[in-house]
Formats: sequence, structure tokens, C-alpha cells
Amino acid sequence: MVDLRRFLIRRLITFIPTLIGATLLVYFVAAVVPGNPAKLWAGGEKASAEVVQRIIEEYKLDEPWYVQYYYFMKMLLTGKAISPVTHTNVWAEVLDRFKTVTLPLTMLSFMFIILIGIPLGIISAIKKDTVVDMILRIFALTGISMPIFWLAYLLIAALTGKGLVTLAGFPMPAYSITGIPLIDGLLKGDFEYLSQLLKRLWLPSLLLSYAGIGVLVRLVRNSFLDAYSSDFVEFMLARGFPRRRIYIHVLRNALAPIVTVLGLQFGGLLAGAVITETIFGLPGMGSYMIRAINNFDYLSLMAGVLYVAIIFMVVNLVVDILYAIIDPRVRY
Amino acid sequence: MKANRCRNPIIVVDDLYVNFYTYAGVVKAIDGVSFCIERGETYCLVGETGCGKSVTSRALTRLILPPGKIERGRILYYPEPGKVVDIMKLSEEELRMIRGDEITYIFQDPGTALDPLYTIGYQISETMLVHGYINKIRKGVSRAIQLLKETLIPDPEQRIKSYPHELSGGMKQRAVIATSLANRPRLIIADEPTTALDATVQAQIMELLRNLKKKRGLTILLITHNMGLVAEMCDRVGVMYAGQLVEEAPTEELFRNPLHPYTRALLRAVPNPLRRIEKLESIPGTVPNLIYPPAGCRFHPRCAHVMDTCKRQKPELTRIGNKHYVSCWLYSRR
Amino acid sequence: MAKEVYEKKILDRVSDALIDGLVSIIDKVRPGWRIKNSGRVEEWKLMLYALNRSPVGLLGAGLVTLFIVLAIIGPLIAPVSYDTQIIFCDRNARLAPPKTVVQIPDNPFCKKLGLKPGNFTMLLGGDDYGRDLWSRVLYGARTSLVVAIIVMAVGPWIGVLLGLVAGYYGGKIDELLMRITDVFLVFPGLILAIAFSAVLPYRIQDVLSAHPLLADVMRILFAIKPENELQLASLLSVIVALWLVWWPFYARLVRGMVLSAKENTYVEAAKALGVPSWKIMFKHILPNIAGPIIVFYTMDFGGVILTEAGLSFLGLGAVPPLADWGRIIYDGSRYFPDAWWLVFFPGLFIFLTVLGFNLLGDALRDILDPRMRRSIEFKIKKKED
Repeated sequence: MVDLRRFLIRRLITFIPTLIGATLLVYFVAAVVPGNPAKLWAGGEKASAEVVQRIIEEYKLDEPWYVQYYYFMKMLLTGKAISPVTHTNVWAEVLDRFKTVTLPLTMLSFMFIILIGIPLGIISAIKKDTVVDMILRIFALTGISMPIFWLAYLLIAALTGKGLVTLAGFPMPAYSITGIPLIDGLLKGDFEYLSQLLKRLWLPSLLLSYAGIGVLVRLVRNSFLDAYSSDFVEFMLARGFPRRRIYIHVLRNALAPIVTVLGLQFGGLLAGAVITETIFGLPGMGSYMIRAINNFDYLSLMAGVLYVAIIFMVVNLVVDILYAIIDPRVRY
Repeated sequence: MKANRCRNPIIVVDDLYVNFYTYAGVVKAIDGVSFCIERGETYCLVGETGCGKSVTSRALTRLILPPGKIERGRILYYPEPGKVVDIMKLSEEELRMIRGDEITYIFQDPGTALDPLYTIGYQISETMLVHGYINKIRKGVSRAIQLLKETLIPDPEQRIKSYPHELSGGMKQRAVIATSLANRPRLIIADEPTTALDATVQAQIMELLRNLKKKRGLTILLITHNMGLVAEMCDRVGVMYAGQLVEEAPTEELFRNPLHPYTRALLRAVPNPLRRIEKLESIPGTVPNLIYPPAGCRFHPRCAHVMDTCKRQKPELTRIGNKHYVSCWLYSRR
Repeated sequence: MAKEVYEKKILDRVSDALIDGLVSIIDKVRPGWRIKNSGRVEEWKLMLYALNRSPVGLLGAGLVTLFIVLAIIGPLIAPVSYDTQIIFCDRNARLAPPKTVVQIPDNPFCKKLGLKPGNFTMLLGGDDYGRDLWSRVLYGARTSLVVAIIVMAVGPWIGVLLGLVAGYYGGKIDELLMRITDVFLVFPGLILAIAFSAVLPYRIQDVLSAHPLLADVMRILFAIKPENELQLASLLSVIVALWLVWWPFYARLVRGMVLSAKENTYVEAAKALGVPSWKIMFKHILPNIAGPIIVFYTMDFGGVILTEAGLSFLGLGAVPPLADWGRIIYDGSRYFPDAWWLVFFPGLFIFLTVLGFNLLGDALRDILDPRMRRSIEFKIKKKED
């Protein structure tokens, strides 16, 4: 376990420069790329000179870049950044929308990816070069080729009127423990709320997971077959191991790349949520960002971008730790 | 049956054919091999890389993975004198119960034979678990420690908690040997067990195998291309060339009186432990392509004594002296 | 054993002819090329034979070819232009279902719109501005193809270059480049693309105003009318955004492969012979790691088309009246499901195009495996003997 701790410390040390780099990149996109950030942040063409002036003062946009960067991050992360367009606190708004809508949406999708992608991948590998394998491979390819905004409309058309899909509103629990509705519902064992949530989210999250399922089926198949061709499999056969036991060993060996890609898929889910939330009218972080673009509300957009990056970084950190637990060789 | 040249065999292989169906065509890897192993002896299969000795050893428990296939032949296993099991007629499940229990394998590269993600102790215990000797991995711990002691691994209580990558090559091979001893082995098939190891470690592993054999009353089938090991370890030797058994004799007889031109060439190509030779020679020509093997005797294109018959007809394995068999037209009575 | 025996099929002869034609063109330009590269040409032929034997690969290649042909000739064969509002000549054109026949009156106004008097069939129907969906889909193919080509011609290559340098030199350079790559990778691709394409148009507009030639070239490539040149900026923003998004993956991929390729003796030998570093990287390492890169590269054409469609669906990138598959769906979604065709057809085109690239890439994975080529060579030769 000593080496696991050493690994953790090393991993955390590389986390910090990446975090700083990510914030720098957001600053770069928000303040350097547009040329005239004050006007942009104030609401673009429609902005009044007075608001622009206020923005310049608040964010020290007439100072050197590192001062600007510092104040930009300070304003955002301490929750002092107020959108001149919507007059709301952008960081608080992003946080709130993430935990009420985007979190349950992506979590549910993540579950679909794991529960559907991994078994189908294993079946495809075990039934290699059969009709089943062929069908699963094509299914996986359609997943990564599918414009979900298209499929979403087709499915909505097919399913509405049958009481299976709702497109308006979002259920909220009457109580608050952690402030995260999904977790609160689970903690309280409030199945009525959870079923409402599920009814609202099952279709968007299933659609959102489709691409990830496609990626995962292909990956699980290939890494399972890779691991299956290892010498230790033959040695297990030579020791009289039953097939199912060998498959467990093979799966565990195939798991390392799978976990890595699952982490990356979470990024794909956060990105896809932008599209899914927009289509299904879910008041989450993604649809908030798109509304921000349409309203020329760039501060809100950048807050969303930064937040996604931070979430994704944390997920990847967790993935790396899991990786080290699964594969003892990584710890060195 | 022609193969049974043994008085008290543990295994008898008769007229074995194995093909591999590769993209380039059908590789006729084993072409009518027959031999038997006497209970309690160390039998060696020698030959160049690709001559089929490994495939033969795996075929003993039908451990031939696709695209390979045993075409025909008989494999009889005698767990005890007088009791016979026809390996070719067993179901997969019955075979599985023999593999790793009564007939166990030691593979060439200990670096890849073990699952990198599980501890040594777990993998040894698991070998017992799958054969029903224990019902929980945890219950195998003390026996695993015992086995590591038996294979002379220092500090076994700690080592069972080690992962394969934390052990040296020699230690890993000892752990592999421990798995092969975990249940009730009668026949151990060691497929080039020291090829991947350093020379000094090689000697230690061989010493270990020899002692274990004595202590446990095992039978060993040793696959090797190292003639030094053959001289040191084996009671009888089978020489294979291109999927055929070309000669078989007790070790000393083979070194003193090699008959088959291939065996002679092979012995001239390596330092002979029994004789001083001036100069090592290489065998002219190359190992034949087994998709289109040479007709007749597969060695004829490289043979210095080739005759017309050699190109047309495959020679039978014929008895020449006491326990000495050769398959070559030079010694045929015809 | 599989009893299939291969001989040259008609398709093989076609592909032979294709390659022979290509070779003789190259040979004209660079005399002696044919003889020097006969081995390579033989491999190319075998690859195509392998493709001819892969139903999945053939389907993919067919879809991709169809898409490219449509994108090239689409604007030429389109019945009307992407912004022709037939509604001005026949009111029924508004949200017309597929196969609606509208009557074009014989007047100078309609002539000016490029409409011939008489019956006009709106094959895939019309949108809320009474524009012909089939024509817009054809122009949309052009938009997708040009975006994909420009993105793929730059983005991945930045990554390949950085990956080569990082992997080859190692040390501090590697550390620095990989940290930068990591920073880009903590942003999910689409999110970063959204951020960049939201703020870039202002800058791009400046560049376009400063370089009218660039604007003209782009306009011609995208088959856009001069009066729509203002809309170019947002379209080009998406391209630049996708450049910035599409390199980090390749940097990581190539770096990893270079690290293992560097261990090979041929690299050591080249170094010992004093071959310059850039030559080792591009002439010795790159060709040896090309296989996986080609597979990802092919599939990423589909990826870029899908992402670009997603962005324009979100309102970024192509703006009306420009024709863009994602944007057509976005604009049409307001009338869904009544005017289902506005969503259905462009989406189908996106799906089939992206699927085509993915099927082709998937098949290439097998085709680029030398063992696969040997087996086909073996089977064909056996038949010829």
C-alpha cells in the first residue's frame, strides 16, 4: 500500500499544473481570443458603454494579462461574477444546474454505458466471427456514427402520446439534505421522486449513452480478445481452469484500458449533455451554456466551460486511482 | 499397437496427427508420431524450434487451441498400472479435471505464464480450487506456503503476497512449478522450462525438478533443444524433426551411437557431453515448410545419404537395438 | 477449414486498373517511379483485394464515395440554389411535404430566382422559407466535406508533429508538450469547440476583411454566393475551433507509438549513421507507425462531420441561409414532427456519411494488417497456379 500512496501523491502533483493550465486556457478563450473581451462579456453589440466600463474595472481588463487572469478566476471561483445579461451569479447558476439536472442525467447515462456496453462487448468477443459478433459490431458502429439530435427527434415522435416521455418541467424534491436531488432522493429512499426523475431522464440519458456504448462495445471486445490471447490464458487451460473462471481473469486484465476509456467517456457525456438537454428542454448546465451563447452572455458560457473541465479532471483523477488499484504494475 | 514399447507406461501416443489451419494453408505440424513414456522416467523430446515437440506435448491432454486440430491418433493415459483412460474419448470437462491435477504443465516463459494482476498465493490456491481440493481461496494459503517451501523459494509467507512482476524470472518459474505440484501430479510436462532463464538459474531449476521427481515419484516429459540438459536429466530421448519422431533411444545409447542422419548432424552441431569434437557444424539447408512438407522422409532434402526411396516413401520407426528405434531407410531391412 | 478459394473478381480487375492508371500517371511525372516502387504497388493492389472481400469495407467505401461525389457535384446538379425561396412563386412551397409539385408562373421575378416556369417537384419537400430541401441537402454535403477536409488537413497533423517531437526527443520537451496536451484534453472536445467557435467569429471577421483573397477562395470552396460572404466568419470559426480540438488525441497517440518505435534497431542504426533527426522521424518512424494513424484518421473524417453537425445544430457555425445539415435540422425542429422531412432527411445523410467513414476505417484496420494481405495473396496465387 506504500507504493499506492506514493502513486497518489505523484498523481496529485501533476493535477495542479494541469488545473492551472486549464484555467489559463479558459482565460485565453474568454479574454484573449475575442480581441475586445470587455464588450463581449458585457453582451456583445448591444452592450452599453457604461456596462463595458464597469466590466473593465471589475475584471481589471486594462491591466497586464496575469492580473486579468487572476481577477477573472477570482471573480468566477468566489462567486462574485454577475452576468450583465441575466444579472445572475454565473458560478452559482452553473453549479446549481449541474447538480440538479446534469449530474443525474450523466450518471444515468454512465450506468447505461457500463451495464450495456461491457456485457455486449464481452459477448461480441466470446462469439468472435459469428453472426452475433457481426450484429454487435455494426450496432457499435451505428452508435458512434449516430447524430443523437436526429435520433432524439425520431424517438420523441415515436414515443410521445404513449405517456412514456415527458418534455417539460423538472421534478424537484421537497426537502434538501446535501442539496443534490439525486443523492437526497437516494438517502431518503424516496422512490416516488426517483421514479419521477427516471421518467423524465430515461430517454435523454439512454440517447446520450448511445455513442459511449458504441465506443465501449468495440473497446471491450478488442481488449478482451487481446487479454484472451495472453500466455497466461493457455497456462490456465493447462491447469484445468473452467472457462468462466478464465473469462473473469481475462476481463480483469482487459479492465485497465476499459476504465481509462470510461473516464474519457464521461467527458463525452458532459459534452453530449449540451445537445441532449437542449433537445429535451432539461434546465441543466448544457442547455444553460447554449442559452448563454444565444443571449451573448459569454461570462456564463465561460463559467460553464471551466466547470466542465474541473469535473472532467476530477473524474480522470478518480479513474487513475482506480487504475492503480486494478493493476498493481501501474503504481511503480 | 505399434507404439507400446513400454513395460509400465504412464502415457502411450499412437500415430498422432495434428494440423494447423492457418491463413497461408494447412500446416501439417505432427505427422504420425508414436511414443510412450515409462512410469517414473524422464523422457525427453528434442529437436529444433518448430519441429513439433511442444505441440506433441500439448496434444497429450488435447491442449491444442484453434486453429490447431488433432486429426487422428490415440492417446492412452494410465493413471495407475492396469488402469487406462482414452484421452481422445474424454469430454472437455473430464479432460479439464485431468489437466492441472494429474498431468501438469510447466511453460517456457514464466514471465507471461502467470496472471499479472493476482498474487502468487492466489494463483496457486486457485489451481487447487478449480480441482475441488479446497472450496475457498483463503483455505489454500497454508498449502501454498508449503509448496513455495518445497520449490525452495525464500521467505514463502511474504512471497505468496507478491505479484508476479515483483519476482525474478527464476522465482517466477519456481512459482509456476509450485502450481504444477499443487494437486496430485503424476506426469509433469516441462516445456523448455529454462530457455527464458539465465544459465545459473537454469541449473538450479533443473536440480529442483530432479529432486522433486525423486521425492514425489513423478514422471517427467522434458521438452528441450539443449543437448546438455538431455544428457543431464533424461532416461530416454525422442528426436523429432519436422513433425516426425526420427529416433528414440536411451540417453547414453543415443549419444554414443546416433543412427539417424539428423540426430548425427544435431549432435555435431552442439557440444557433445560424452565426446570431444574438434569443430561444431551446422546442418545444411533449412527446416522445411510444413504446409508443403517434402514427400517421403521429411529430412531427405537436407540428408547427405539421400536415396531414391527416401523421396517417395516415409520410413517406419524400426527397432535397431535394445530400446533403440530409428526411422530411416538406411537401417531398413528392405 | 473454410473452403473458400479466391480468384480475381471483377472488382479486383477494376481496382487493378485503378492502381495501374494511378501508377502510370505518377510514372509520367516522375520517370522510373514504377520500377522503383513495384513492391509498394503490389501491396496497394493486395489492400484493395482485401477491401473487395470485406462487405463492411465495401459498404463503407461506397457510402464515402457517394458522399464525396454528392459534395463535389451537388451544387452543380441541385435543382435550385441553397437560398432560393420558391415561396415567392408558389405559396405551397412553404413546408411542402416531399414530392410536392409546385407551379412556377412565367414571370421575370421567378426567372431571376433561377426557376423555370411550369411544374417543379420538391423531391424532399421544402422548409419554412419555401426553400427546396433536396437542393439544400446537396449544398450541405459540400459544406460538410469542405469543413472535414480543412479540419483534417491541419488539426491531426499538428498532433502528429508534436507527438513525433515529444516522443523522439523526450526529456523536457516531451514533458512540456504533454502537459500542454493534457490541458487541452481536460476539456471534452465538443465543449472546447463550443467555447472557441462562440468567441472566434470576431477575430475571423477581421482576418477575412484583411484578406479578401482568402474569403474568395473559401466562398468558392463552400459554393456560397458573394452576398453571403458575411456568414463565412462563423463557418470558419468552427473550422479553427475543430483544429484546436482535434490535435491533442493525435499527439498522445503518436507520442506513445514513437516511444516504442524508437527502440527498434533501424532507428538506432539510422542514428548511428548520422541521419538527421527530422529524416528519422518522417522517413523511418512515421511510416512504421502509420497503420493505426490511418485507421483513426479515416474514422475521424466521420467524427469531424458529426461534430460540425452537432455544433451547427446548437446554433454555432453555419448560419442561415447557408446550407448545413445540422443547421437544417435545428431550424426544422421547430416544425417537428409535422414537417418531419426537415429533420429526417438531413439527419439520414449525416448518419450514412459518418457511418460510411466508420465502416471504412473499421475495415482498414484489417486491411492494413500484413497477415491479412498475405493470406489473400496466397489464395489468389493458388487459384492462378
